[in-house]
Amino acid sequence: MLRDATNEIRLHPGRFIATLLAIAISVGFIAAISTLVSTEQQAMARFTQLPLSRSDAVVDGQFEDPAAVTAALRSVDGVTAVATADKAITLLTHDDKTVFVTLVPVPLEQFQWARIDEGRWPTDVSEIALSLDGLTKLGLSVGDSVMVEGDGGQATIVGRTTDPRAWFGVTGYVGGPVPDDDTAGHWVLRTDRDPATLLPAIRDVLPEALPGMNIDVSTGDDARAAALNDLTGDFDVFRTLLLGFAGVALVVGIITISNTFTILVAQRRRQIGLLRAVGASTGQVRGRLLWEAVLLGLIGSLLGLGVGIAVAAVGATITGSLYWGLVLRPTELLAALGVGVLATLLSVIGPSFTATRVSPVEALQAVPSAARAKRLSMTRAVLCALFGAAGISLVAVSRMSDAWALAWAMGAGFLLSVAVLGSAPFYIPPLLRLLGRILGFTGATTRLAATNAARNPQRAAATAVALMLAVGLVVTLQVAVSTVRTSGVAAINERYPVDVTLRTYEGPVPESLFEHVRGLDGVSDAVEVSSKVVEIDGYESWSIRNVNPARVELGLPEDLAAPDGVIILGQHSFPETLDLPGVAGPVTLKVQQSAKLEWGDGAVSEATFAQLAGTPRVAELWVKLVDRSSATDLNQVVSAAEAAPGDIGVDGQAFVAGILEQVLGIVLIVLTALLGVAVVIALVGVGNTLGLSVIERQRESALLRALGMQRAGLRWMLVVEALMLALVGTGIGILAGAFFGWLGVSSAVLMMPAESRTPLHFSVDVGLTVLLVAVCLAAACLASVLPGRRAANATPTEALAVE
Amino acid sequence: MSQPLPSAPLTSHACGAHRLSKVYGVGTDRQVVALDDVSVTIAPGSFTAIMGPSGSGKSTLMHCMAGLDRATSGDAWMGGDNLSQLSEKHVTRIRRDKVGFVFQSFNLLPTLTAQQNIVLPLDLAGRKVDRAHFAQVVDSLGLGDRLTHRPSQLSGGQQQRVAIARALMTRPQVVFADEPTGALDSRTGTSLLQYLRHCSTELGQTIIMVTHDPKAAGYADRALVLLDGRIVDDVARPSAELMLATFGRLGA
Repeated sequence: MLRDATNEIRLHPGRFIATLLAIAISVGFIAAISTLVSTEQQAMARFTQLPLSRSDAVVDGQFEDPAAVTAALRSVDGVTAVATADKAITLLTHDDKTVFVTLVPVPLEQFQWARIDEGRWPTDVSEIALSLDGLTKLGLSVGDSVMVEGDGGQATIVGRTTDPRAWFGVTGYVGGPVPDDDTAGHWVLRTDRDPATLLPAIRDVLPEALPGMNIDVSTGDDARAAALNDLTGDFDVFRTLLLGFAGVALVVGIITISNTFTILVAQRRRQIGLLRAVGASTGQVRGRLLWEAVLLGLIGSLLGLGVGIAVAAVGATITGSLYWGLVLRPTELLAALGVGVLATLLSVIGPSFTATRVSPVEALQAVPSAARAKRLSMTRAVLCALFGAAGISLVAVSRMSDAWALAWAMGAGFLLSVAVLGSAPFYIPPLLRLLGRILGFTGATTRLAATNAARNPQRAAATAVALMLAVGLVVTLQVAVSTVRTSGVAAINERYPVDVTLRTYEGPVPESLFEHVRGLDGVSDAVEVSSKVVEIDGYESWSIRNVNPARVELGLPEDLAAPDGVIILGQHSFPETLDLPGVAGPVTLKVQQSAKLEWGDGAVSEATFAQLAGTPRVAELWVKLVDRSSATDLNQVVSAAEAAPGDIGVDGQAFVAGILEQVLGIVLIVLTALLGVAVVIALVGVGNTLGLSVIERQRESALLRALGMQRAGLRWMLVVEALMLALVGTGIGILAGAFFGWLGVSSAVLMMPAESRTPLHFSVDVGLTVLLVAVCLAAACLASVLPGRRAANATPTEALAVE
Repeated sequence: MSQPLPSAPLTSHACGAHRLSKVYGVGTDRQVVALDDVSVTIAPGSFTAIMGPSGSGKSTLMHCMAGLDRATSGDAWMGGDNLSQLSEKHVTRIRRDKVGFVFQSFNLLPTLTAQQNIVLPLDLAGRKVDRAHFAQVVDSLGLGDRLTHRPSQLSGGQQQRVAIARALMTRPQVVFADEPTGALDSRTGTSLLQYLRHCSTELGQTIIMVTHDPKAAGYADRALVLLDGRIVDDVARPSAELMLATFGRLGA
């Protein structure tokens, strides 16, 4: 049976390419995650433990007199060198560039892990050496000086080291004790003996530790392994999260592979019928298919392992972590291999049973009976309806529940997904036909493509389901993240409409500051806001501002505008009207309250402002930044305020909103990219379905050629077929995903206490969604190329040949 | 012959072959000559049968004359167009516009209804359906109540009549029929041959039919007999008996 299976694959390799691809991508994804995460983890552990990197033994503990410890350690027989392993994390700044640096004292030669490339090692506290990466990040070179955060002041860069690039930080060296040494209590030792035999001797010479402190003596190898383990917890979160995405890709892969085998089995009906007719048992027929699956799974998984490891190596090169070596975890990779084979085997079980359910006589008939298509049964309809109804009721429950809203919504999401995906054979073909009718005006080719795409409901449905699932998941997460982002930003904007506010507490804002701020690169506009000091409720310092001109100039929301005869105040206990001293007697103003105003601030319209008594002065600047997420832009304004005379307050949440926007934007892209793998697999499935269908339709293609359809026409027909399948799958995926995304986020909000709920702004990232659709359609066109060529190469005389 | 079809060009022949040869496997040691220097002219409105035993080259001759396959040397004429000289695209267009095909195994598209199958060539050409012509063809074939059925719901005879209707819809210069009765029972086959005869005499439709059945050849007004890639006999007004005798002489 194994030989039969090998022959089948060797005879028709083309039919299995898509299956192999689907398996390879799924397994490759898992392998890449495992390898990359382990590699990064090791790199980070090595990086953070650089001072230990060349030690033979390590001593940890808190002592009263560290110098005594060093002396005692030196006296141990066999110890060739002793040093303290200090380090401190600090910030180095140059212009507007800031870098996190782990500062260490220049290590003794025996412990050195890096060399000097240019210049020399620092010999003084005010000297520093950095890696090329650090220098590049700061835009400096040897000889320049740099700001050290805290009391460090300026330091001169005297050397460039060979330390590798790392995404998590930079190592810097100083020629003396490091500032704010936070790790005093680590000693590293070199020895010419076996480190393990040295440990008891070390313990014996050590003085008593401070009360309540433990002394830890270990070999260098053990200390480094422990450092790696300490990070495991942090990295496991990533690993698990990423493996979740790999799981999604795997499920889509299983659907694709299962669909492939269903088609292959349908095409081999007669071969199977013949086998059965000459006496093969159902078990033997099934065994053949299962062996094929095992072989394919094995080949595909091995390919996937190779590709995955290669991808991880490329990734580690980009992050710079490859320097520390690629970490392969044999057990995890073997598990990935096993998962690949198992998934393939799992996806062939269904088709293999369908294959053997057919009686030999039936299988040998030329045309599959129409009755088979009708087995698309009542059972399926009833089950899907039940799941759908249950899902809808859970949605309703989640709307009314508070504490468990998200749990109900997740259940609803699962049930509805099953219903939508399961009932696909009912609505996919009509949708395809409808699409054909809508696009029918473009010509006969399109109409033919539509009927072809819908001719086999099960097959079209399975193909579209894989795509629906993948796209649906992408869009669910996209909508959820995008909605959180928009709502969060809206909430911040609501509260703090102005990017940055500069205000004086006494006296007017200096004109020089206004000019300076206006001229900054990072500032797109700055407006002076005049105010009068008015006495309300016995408080003299109420600053009543004329906000309307500034609001208009900065394009701020309408609800900030103050109408005439109204004073807007913060939400404090004010009467409904206030009498304020005016230029000509008291002015009565209606009080309007707003959460946006602080204690001591009021806002009025221009006309009202003119009526109030007092001298107008500019006590506030409203600043609009070019890029509100840019720390550089904000810093320019802050430094300008600090440099100005007098006490100037800086206020505003622009940076927070900007960072939120930026971080969630990145999350969105990363999520899309990760789930994109599943979409790719689903699109491989589209190509696969077309390719296998074209094999069946060889004769029809030949007929169309004989009847006068050009080669280009046949190729176009396949393109349209692929586009229609992709369009329907993507369309439903997006609709379902948008609903589930909204359901998830709104349920999460329902779980918050009523008073702290933020209003939700349902949002779809239009750019990403359009990109997703465009990529899907483009990939579908690409997937139709090979099937299209095959169809176009049908010679017209084939149509005349008798079967 | 009553009146020529409106689309038929005013040339002395409907189609023809001049010194046509087809060799398979050129340049290998297993070279097979399927057509050997064949010349023939088909008159407009004629009903020609191409006969011969298996492997005599009759199918190859039809394929080359119909523009389904390219000859190794020589010319194949369709009206004024030399198919041997034209590009693949141009030949495809000629097949679409000037040639009708009827195949032994019907070859209808299973996804289309009878009506859609009949108008498919016009659809592919993006041409409008002549309602009157459509009604006339469908009526004469008795397909009026079968138009919305799909091929799987039609009998063999009905499927072949749909195929003939499809071949006639474009008012082709020549209809090629490849063993049209091969898959039909004898009664259905006879009525089909009678219909082809009717198209030729009453409508002036040029028809070329490949067959190995002497009885079928009896309906044609000319029979070309092929053997080993050459025309060995050209019989005017063949009868079934005569063709049977000819075949006996050839030892087929």
